[in-house]
Amino acid sequence: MIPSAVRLREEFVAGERSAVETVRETFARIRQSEPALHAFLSLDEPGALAAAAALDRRRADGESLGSLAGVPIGVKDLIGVRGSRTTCGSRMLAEYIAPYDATVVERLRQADAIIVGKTNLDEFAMGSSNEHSAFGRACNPWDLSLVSGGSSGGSAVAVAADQVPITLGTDTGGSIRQPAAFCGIVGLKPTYGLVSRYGVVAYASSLDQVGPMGRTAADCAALLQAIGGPDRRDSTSARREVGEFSPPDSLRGLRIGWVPEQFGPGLDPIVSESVESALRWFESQGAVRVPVELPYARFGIASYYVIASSEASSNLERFDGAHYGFRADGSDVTDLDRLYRATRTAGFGAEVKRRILLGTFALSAGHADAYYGRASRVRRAIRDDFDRVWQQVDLLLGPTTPTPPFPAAAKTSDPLAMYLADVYTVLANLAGLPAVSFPVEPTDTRLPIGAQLTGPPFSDQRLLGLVHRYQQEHDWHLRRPDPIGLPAGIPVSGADS
Amino acid sequence: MSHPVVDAELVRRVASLAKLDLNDDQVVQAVGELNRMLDFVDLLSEADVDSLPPLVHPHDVLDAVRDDLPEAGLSRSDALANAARHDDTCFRVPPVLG
Amino acid sequence: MKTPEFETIVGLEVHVQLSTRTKLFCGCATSFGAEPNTQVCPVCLGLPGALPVVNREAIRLAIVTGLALDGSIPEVTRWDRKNYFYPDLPKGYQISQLDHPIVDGGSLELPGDESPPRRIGFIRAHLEEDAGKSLHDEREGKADTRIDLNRAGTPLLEIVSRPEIRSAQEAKRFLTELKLLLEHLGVSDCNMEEGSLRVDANVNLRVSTPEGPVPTPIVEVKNLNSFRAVERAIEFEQQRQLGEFLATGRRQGEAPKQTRGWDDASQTTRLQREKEESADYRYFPDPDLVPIVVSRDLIESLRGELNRRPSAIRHRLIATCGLSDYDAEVLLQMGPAAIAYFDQVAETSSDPKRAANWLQQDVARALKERGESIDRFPLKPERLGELLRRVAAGELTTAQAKDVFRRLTEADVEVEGAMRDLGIASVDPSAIDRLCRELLAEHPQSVADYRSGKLQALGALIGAARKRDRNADPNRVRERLLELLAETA
Repeated sequence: MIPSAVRLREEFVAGERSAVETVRETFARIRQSEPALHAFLSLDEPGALAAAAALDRRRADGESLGSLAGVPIGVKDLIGVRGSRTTCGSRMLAEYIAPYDATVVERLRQADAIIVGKTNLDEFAMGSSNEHSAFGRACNPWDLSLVSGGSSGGSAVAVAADQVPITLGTDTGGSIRQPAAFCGIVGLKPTYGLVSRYGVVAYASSLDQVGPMGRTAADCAALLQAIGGPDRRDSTSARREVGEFSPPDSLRGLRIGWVPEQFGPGLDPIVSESVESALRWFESQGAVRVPVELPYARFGIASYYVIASSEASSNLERFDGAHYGFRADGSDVTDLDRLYRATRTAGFGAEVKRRILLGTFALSAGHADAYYGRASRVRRAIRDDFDRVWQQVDLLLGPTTPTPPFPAAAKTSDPLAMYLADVYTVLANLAGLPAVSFPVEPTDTRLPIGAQLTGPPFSDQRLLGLVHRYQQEHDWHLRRPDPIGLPAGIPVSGADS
Repeated sequence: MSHPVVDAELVRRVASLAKLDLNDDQVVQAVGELNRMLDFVDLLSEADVDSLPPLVHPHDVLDAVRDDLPEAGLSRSDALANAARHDDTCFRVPPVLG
Repeated sequence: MKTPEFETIVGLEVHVQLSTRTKLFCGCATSFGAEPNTQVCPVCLGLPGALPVVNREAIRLAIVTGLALDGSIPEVTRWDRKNYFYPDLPKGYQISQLDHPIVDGGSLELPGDESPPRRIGFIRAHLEEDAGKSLHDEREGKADTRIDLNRAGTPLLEIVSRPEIRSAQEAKRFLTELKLLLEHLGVSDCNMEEGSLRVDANVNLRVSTPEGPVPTPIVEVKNLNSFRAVERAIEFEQQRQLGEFLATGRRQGEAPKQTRGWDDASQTTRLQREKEESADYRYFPDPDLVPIVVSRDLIESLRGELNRRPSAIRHRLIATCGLSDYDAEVLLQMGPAAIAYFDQVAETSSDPKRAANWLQQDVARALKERGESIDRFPLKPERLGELLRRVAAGELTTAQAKDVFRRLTEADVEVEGAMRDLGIASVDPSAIDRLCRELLAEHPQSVADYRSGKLQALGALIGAARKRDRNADPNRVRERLLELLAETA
């Protein structure tokens, strides 16, 4: 079992373990489970060892050590790490080497975290199962036949399988929270603007946020603190610091809102019962449960897919083979237009093309008002809904996903069914709110189930504090897939330790 | 609101704007998928939002500007390194018309 | 058949490169002529993950321009993406402004004698980023295109006039005045060879017919690389469109909008493309950029810059400095640095007219000979002012002053020192005056001769002066004698 990030840092600073030792153990664990899981798209053992050795020297010299000193971390492969491949899970960028660090990566380095590799994802973060990765999906460590969730599937799997204690994910419509729920870990989508997007390859700029994933809320809080705060290179960055992580002593009087419609038809009873159990626990601690309404929530998925696809269609125009990335160079590519078409046709996968087509249509002349424009108005109505809700309650508790993790291939032939997997998560992105998924008591299955807490803007640390309280009284987050981080009977090929 | 008829011609035009080639089978598939998606999105017509301005940015961050001060960029070799084709100084692409 | 009467309708789109140190959305330098792809960064290369941040100075320059053109500056300005694929546009979209430009409306008064003065209106002015450069390379036998992205992201202000220009000559007048304004406000260097000022013209005709005036299809003419080209292209289009109308009878709306390119070599326009289906740029608000709120305080603080408007300078030079219209115009055309130089010379010498003359002649000639711009001219305006003050006071002649002027451009010395170097003694003008008055009184015959037209009598007087005072400068004596003769005539 891997210690938490907070613990690892304490042990390192106290001289109880060296960073090199931690990195060697980390890679040993990764080698064991990775062939079955495919959580990572690239690993950098020499780089991690070099960073660890430098850190050990600095500790020996008595220098000050960062807030994540000696903690190994995985970074979603949508986030640029200077000198490393940043593939975005796409053939288009299979060979692309990022020439600069994302702001969050710069801050990880300042915090003395050790980046071990880049985690698997749905291509350009478009997907809810990791099956749209051009390099093969990451598998759910609880049952390899199930999806990990997506798009930050690799980041969730790496934590759930004890490869690393913490990872960075990105969340545009649920891409941190849904895989966190499916893999039984904690994942926070921060308030829009709290974490810089600079250097993070854009899917839908007005919805994207980088966020922490880990086994404990405390680890997520530490990671959020390291990466968050204002960045002058991101115009949409909020001028707000992350704030302290200070879990409440008491939950008495806490007003927890819940939306009855979210517990109605469409929600698997297995999930419903698990989330109910969490609600009951908060009540047992003195919290007050208040039913609230989000009248426009039912338009969430439609609004989300129009806006996200519109922005994506534009964000992805830069991938045309001219200046970087894949270029189709066949003999038939004799002029520029053919180059563009051949490159984009061969470089993008089916789901990415599907969204580009939808987005291009939604922005095209004669249709933009009815689609992109209308979806953006609905988006405001949804945000206004939440603004009203925060007059009544302190936060919302509900399901993260409508179902437990589903089997691979179950939804790939039905894009719309896949999109509906995000029905509860897209709302926080549309309204720019912080939302965290955390593992709650599973009902009659040994698979993890996640509940989602959503709060007003910049209540990120408060949400994590409440999850921390829950985790002090429960150990669902400490359950590991048996027996070595993998379900019994799964062959561990290629393991060398 | 009911969406416009999505036919092969519309799909081809949209694909062309997006610089994507679709073969005939793919066009048929895309027509089906786009129709289905737009059937679903038609739901938005039930939302009473005509009086609301569109929301582009989730929060009201304003006036993010920088001072007019030069900063170091990338070296030319770093700038060109990821290009499929380049020479010592420039990116290279096929001509506009073959 | 008699050629029908027609009216020419021209609207101009002027792209001006703003004089910022760095690009519109990143900290890369904007200097012209750098080695290809050496002024680039993740943002202007459009690398995955890079994000734009607006340059404050570009906003300031755009607002100053808007105010100078009497436009209004909306409280909120926003950014949109214009999507299209081109290799000099690395992101696949250009960041521009569609619905909320930084400047709304406005107009520009053309200098001239018309009454009321001729004004050309503006629709708007908006900020946008420039594209890179495509270089067509035939060296290797195959027509590859090479891309240099140094220029990508350079700030442009696109100023769009109303279609209120009525002739080729008026287009040139308008552009000349607009360029003057942009230069004097320090908004742009307006160097057309370097592409800092680019013009597209929308041209059509309103042809008189028995049923009334009929508009012909609008043609957009691009590739206008000089004001002369703008003039010639409009003239060419007048004839071409009239001919086409007479041949086809097609009016606006009955033919697709054409884009034509000006060809300097053949002095004609050539069809570039016909927009049957107008390009679909899928404009939408750029989610990476937040709106800019232009504070009313900022606008008020920038109004002070408006006294650098050509119209304001003209007024000042003529009304306050007493210069002629012509002199004022020549000085304006010399540019903002020349005006600043003039102001200093005029102030130090207390003689604006003399300052204007010297600037237009001696200074301009010296600059030309030295191949220098006025801001690098070694003779500081305070010194020239001092020199002219002494000339005005009669301490030295204009001829001597020219020698001193040359000396001052060659050596870093004060006026006093330069005169000493040249052996020019500062003359007490009252001594010359006294001498001349005495001579005139003593030689009434010479005075009478001179007045009767025998101009050589003046030489006799000067000779007499030299006999009395060997140091008396003959030029100076001549000048004073002439003045006294004129006074007493």
